[in-house]
Amino acid sequence: MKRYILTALAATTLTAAAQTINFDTDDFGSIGVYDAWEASPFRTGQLKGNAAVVANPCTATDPVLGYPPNTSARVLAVQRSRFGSNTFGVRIDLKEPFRLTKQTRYLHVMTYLADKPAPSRLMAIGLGRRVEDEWSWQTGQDEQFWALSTSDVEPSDQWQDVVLGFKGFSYATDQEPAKGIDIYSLVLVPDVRSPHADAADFACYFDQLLIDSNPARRFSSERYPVNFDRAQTPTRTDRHLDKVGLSNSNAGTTQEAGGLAGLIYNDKTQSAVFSAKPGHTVRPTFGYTGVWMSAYVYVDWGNDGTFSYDLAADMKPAQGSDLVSYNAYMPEATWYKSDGTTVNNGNQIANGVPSFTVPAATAPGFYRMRYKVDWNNIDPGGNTSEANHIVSNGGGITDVLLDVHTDVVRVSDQQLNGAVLTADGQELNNFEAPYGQPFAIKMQPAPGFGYKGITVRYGYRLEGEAVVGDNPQYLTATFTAADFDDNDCLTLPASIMVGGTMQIEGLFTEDARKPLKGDTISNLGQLSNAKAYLIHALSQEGYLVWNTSVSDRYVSLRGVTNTSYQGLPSDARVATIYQQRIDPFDASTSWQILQKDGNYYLRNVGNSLYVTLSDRDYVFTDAATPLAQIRANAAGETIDGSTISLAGTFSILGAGGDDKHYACICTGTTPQGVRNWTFNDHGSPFYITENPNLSVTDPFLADGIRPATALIPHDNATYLLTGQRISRPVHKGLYIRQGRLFMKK
Amino acid sequence: MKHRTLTYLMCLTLAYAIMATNSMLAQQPFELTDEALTWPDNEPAPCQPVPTERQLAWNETEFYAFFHYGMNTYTGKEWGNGDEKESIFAPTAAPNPRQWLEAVKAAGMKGGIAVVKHHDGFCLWPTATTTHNVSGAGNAYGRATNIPRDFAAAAQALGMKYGFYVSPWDRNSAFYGEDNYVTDVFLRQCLELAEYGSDQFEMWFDGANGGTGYYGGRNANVSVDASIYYDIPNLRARVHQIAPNCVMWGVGGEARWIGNEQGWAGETNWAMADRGGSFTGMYGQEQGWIWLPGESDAKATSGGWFWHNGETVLSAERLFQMYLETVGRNATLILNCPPDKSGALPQATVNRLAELGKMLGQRLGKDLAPAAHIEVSETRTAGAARNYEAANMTDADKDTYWAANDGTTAATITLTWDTPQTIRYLQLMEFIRKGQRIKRFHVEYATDGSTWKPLATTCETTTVGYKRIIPLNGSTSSSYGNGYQAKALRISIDDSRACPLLSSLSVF
Repeated sequence: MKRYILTALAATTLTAAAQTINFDTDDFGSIGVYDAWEASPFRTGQLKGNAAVVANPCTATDPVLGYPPNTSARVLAVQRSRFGSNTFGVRIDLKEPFRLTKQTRYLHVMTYLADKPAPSRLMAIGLGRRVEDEWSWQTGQDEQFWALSTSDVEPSDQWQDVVLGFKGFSYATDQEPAKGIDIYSLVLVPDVRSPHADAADFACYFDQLLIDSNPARRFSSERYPVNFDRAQTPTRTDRHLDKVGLSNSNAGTTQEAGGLAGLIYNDKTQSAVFSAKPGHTVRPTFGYTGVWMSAYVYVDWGNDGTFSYDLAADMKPAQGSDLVSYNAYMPEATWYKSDGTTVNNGNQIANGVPSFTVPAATAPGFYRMRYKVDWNNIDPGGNTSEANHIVSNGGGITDVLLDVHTDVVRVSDQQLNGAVLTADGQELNNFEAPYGQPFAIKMQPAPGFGYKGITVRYGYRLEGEAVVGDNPQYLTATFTAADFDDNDCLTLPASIMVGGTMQIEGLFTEDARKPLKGDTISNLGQLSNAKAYLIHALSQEGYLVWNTSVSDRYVSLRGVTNTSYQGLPSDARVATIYQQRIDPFDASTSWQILQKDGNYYLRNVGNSLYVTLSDRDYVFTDAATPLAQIRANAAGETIDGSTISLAGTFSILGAGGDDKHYACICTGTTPQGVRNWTFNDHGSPFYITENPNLSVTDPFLADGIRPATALIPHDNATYLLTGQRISRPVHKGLYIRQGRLFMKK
Repeated sequence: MKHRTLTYLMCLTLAYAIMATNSMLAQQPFELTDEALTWPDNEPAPCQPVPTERQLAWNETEFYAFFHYGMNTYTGKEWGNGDEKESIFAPTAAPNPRQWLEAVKAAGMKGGIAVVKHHDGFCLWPTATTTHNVSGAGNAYGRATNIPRDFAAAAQALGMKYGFYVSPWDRNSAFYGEDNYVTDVFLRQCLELAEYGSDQFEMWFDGANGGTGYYGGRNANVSVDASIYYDIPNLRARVHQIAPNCVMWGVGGEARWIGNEQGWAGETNWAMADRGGSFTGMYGQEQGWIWLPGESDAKATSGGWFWHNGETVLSAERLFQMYLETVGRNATLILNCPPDKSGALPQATVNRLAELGKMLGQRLGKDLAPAAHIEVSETRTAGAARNYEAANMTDADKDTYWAANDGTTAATITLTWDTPQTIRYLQLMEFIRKGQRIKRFHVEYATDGSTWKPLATTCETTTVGYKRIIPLNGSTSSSYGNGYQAKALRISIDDSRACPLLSSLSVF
């Protein structure tokens, strides 16, 4: 009813000019709620919904922008109901419909979502109809497009600007009779999550709707903004930025960061650190697939969150400009590059960019450096014109850190329960290590302590936050005990000997062989060839084991998909063992500890294996000579002077109630099955004893010894000391029956 | 004159009154209201997005046939160029959709989709939109052909569901790629087809977006923006006026292509997806904004989609594997059986379909669950007129379901029998009317009723959805095996988006 009256006042349909809707003036029609869900209580009339034009809840200055982005007095508000669907929102009936076009147009909308419970995407739905006569049966409320934001919108106590693209199949707008699709209402869905778990409704605010052809946000309180969605993937395969680098002739170094082709924007500030000293002349490099593009480089010398790009009259960067180098820019009729010379055209990407000099007065620190491939545009966020948009042109932006440094890194350690020293025993108290060179250190635990690794922080201002203003101040690297050699030494790689200061925290613990809380690997994809892993037994989850080239069983984390994981190399090591019963087991999480090539592994033995692990000593046997033994501790150190030549792969299952009883499986070319071995302090040979904690079935043992039978207390079979089952003892000597030794005289 | 002025003034006054009211309110901050729904039956809140009524009915079709028949049957091509003369279409007998449908019904299929216009543009009914149709066929049988009419009639007589494949891409049409192709040709064809039966269940819109073709003599390479060219929102609204239960597949936006033509869906398969964005057909998306269930199209023969001389039919075991990997993984299966030049299914195909039907009946026919005693770790508190007992899973009523309480995302269901049963398959069905919830589960059995051993350890027992069939030995290619002797079977739901709801549980 209301709408009918207002359309009587309306003018003709707008063409594809920009259209604005704000709520200070009455340039909108009516408002209400809408739900695309056909069974919604808001459609059946059970619920009415709550939407209104109200006072602006936030006219404050945005601390990052430095100005208030929305000073309207009135804005649109809707109560996002937990009884609606995930496509529930506020409906704005337009004063004048607008025609959809084949070219993408963009709805810009400011939104204030302080009370939204979680980050989620926004959506705009257009309601309309076809304009031709044969479609006059349509009411104008058929859904015509669904424009979903490509990334989540965070809850925030500041106004944000969101851009949503849409299009439709319409013909020329001046065609007679008229043909096309008109949009009569816009629905703004503030939260595309399912509301089923939400405990309460929350208020959502919208304002300043603008429909035009510009995909860029009107403002962004992000630092170092880009003029497109940060999650944007390439839209073409013939052009993409692959790597960036820095060539430093003074230092004689070339550094690179690659792997960029999957995204238009790459933030590599957590991993790529390029180095230069004040006064160095450096040349940025680009690895780019494609032609007819140009390159631009920026460094935020002022560390203020933006890249300024002022040029002097001679087209070189102005004094203090963050634009440090570019190879093609034509503001009017001539193409220039940043050294002030001219070039023929913008097709310069293959020719590199001019060098620039790090100002001599630059204070040491990490500076954000931006590499951009684009067309004729010095805006660090990228070209946004429809004809030459950076995304459709196949450009790319990558941010790295530029470390403006001195000759040394000052290294200190934390000195808690032990010290970290240089490899030759010197204290680390602002020790001046040479910048960019590998650095050897040594662990010195206090008496009664061991260590499980180190945490290294390196960069600048280590006492503050790791990231300030979107820029890393320092980075962090970790190393575990397994990375240290037998002398407790480790060489820190050159790649982390950057920045101005380094702090090493030795992770010293009482008796490293005791159970330690280690890293939990939550998915198989995190297994790294370069690290050792802790066997971490939590009650129901977290057994970490892996496939070896010997065993054909696989890693399983309880509760995670049982999948085969191939390829962990044979020198992956276990750093420590837990003193905790891994219990309960099922078929895919029964494990035994293997040793191969001096390293420890776990191997699945099949069903119903209960393994007791000990942090104390473990025993290994050689498949070929089962009576030989070695006693070693959890760290792999040999004790008692006993040695054994390891001719095959063998494994221990774990310890029994004391440190003298172990169960082992011998594998290899002569499978021997499971036995219980006891070792006493004087190096006597092993003999089988009973361990009531063990019962094993192992489908992977070849025929021969049936392992379980050797351990079942009531088994009446007789075994040789080798574990071989025999029908009856013939010769004099030692035999095993019912898990106990007996002598035939 | 005076009257009109008065009316005009009244309008203005009313408009100003509205604006004035708005101004008064606009200085106030926004206040939330306490509007809420009550749930007298203690029903769980829907886990959005949820299917439409049309999509629910479509899912229940589960297993149906594809019939690629047309100009290509007589040219031997898979994609005709659009310049084939109408006279080439010359069936050696009257095409017999009834025979097709009878044969697939014996295989356990509940419906079929007939190709009535493929990319070559030749229409298998006397359409008013183009002369490239059966009216110009090469013999009397051809000229009398009207596949949509006969197919619809046969399906209705056999109590089966039916629908049509009409290719949006038209390599014959002089108008393809032009602004008026959709309104003057394609949409009109869809409406003519909708008139053949308002009870159609699916219209198949192949996603090909242009390419080379005859195009009425243009002989050009025409490409279109498939996301807008077919004006799907309005086309859908128009077709639904005539055939309200017709799911528009593929480009039509109500069901998605499963992402391959090999007859499998991901073991993890969500019925939701980011329609309009990017997603992988095989797996769907747990966070997808709209209900868009997957349909798997696969070929039962070795030659191609259309009939080819010398082709063979896949084995029943292989087809059963496809069934397990599609219908058994929250997707529907549309299995292609191409008629030959006589317009009928070859006898080898008919025989194989009967064999498949017998296999399905034998392997998935006798449900052992109703005879079991079922215990659950938790039962949702009943409401005024509805309960959520475990027995609802074996009562053969799709509208009843077992449910846990709000906030519970893990539960166990234990079935026990007095004597050991030989079990090979477990089938679960969520009450998807309230959304798809289950994320992970695992299965164990006990021969003696108390010593539990795991089953199907090589399966990814993750999602369930409309239907999930687990071969208990973990193999879909040789699933039948010896079975397992079980006095007890335990299903543990490990994680769920919201409280789990199961409308059906079967053990075979």
